[in-house]
Amino acid sequence: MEESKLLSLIPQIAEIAKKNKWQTHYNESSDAFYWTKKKLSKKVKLIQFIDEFSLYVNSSGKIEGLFLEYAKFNFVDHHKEFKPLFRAMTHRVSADVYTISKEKEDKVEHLLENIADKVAKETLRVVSKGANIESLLSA
Amino acid sequence: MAYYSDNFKDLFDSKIVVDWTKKLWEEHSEKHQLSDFTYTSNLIRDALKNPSIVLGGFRKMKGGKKQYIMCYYKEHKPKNSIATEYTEIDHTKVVVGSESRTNFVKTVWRKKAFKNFILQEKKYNFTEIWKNQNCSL
Repeated sequence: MEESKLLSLIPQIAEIAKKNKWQTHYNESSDAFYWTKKKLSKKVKLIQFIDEFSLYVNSSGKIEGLFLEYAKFNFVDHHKEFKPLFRAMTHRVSADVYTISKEKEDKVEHLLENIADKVAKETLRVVSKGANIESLLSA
Repeated sequence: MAYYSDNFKDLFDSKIVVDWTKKLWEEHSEKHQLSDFTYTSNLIRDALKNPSIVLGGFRKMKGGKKQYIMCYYKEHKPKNSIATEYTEIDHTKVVVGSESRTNFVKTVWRKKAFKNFILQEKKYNFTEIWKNQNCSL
């Protein structure tokens, strides 16, 4: 897999998410936020090359989602602009897991796009400092 | 009702349990690539018994509550002194919560990350409880 392929896909995360109908999940027990394909590929890899966010990348080098630790009670404390996103995650999927309620989807869609932009900008910053993202994709 | 359960001892000889419902297992196994119970238990056991670094601190929760958690990081193939901020580190992380005198595994995953971004807890004033001399984190 070539680094350039992954790098070229990162600015397109919002479009990829829309095209593949990514879903949001917030796990209240672990305070983890996921924005991923409905069903992740079996061979997907979890990698982290920027602060806060990890990416799911499959064996073809395609991005299948994002993962954020310490989401609602730490990340949002420092990025208050994303508060409405977590407030909108009121539809219960299972005991501790929530997703965005249907009626609020349109109101917070731009915040998901902002998350995608944030990931893209951070990636550029890290790459400009000489980080080799490809090293995370090797076996 | 427990679907995936197991018992472990950490490096301090404290008992830690995992006790997940089927739904919880399905969510974790997909999102954290946990192929089966055996693989997952081995991942947890190794990180708890032979961690590279252990951090402890309070995590904020719903309703303003705080929960004490411990994060066990197990570095695979430590790179020691040559690790720079953008060195890739393959590691396992196990998050353990405490409630009513029981220590339980909240989550576990294995991933590759740049050294600089692994110990998220340092931003949140967690305390370093233990560190292996060979740890590059």
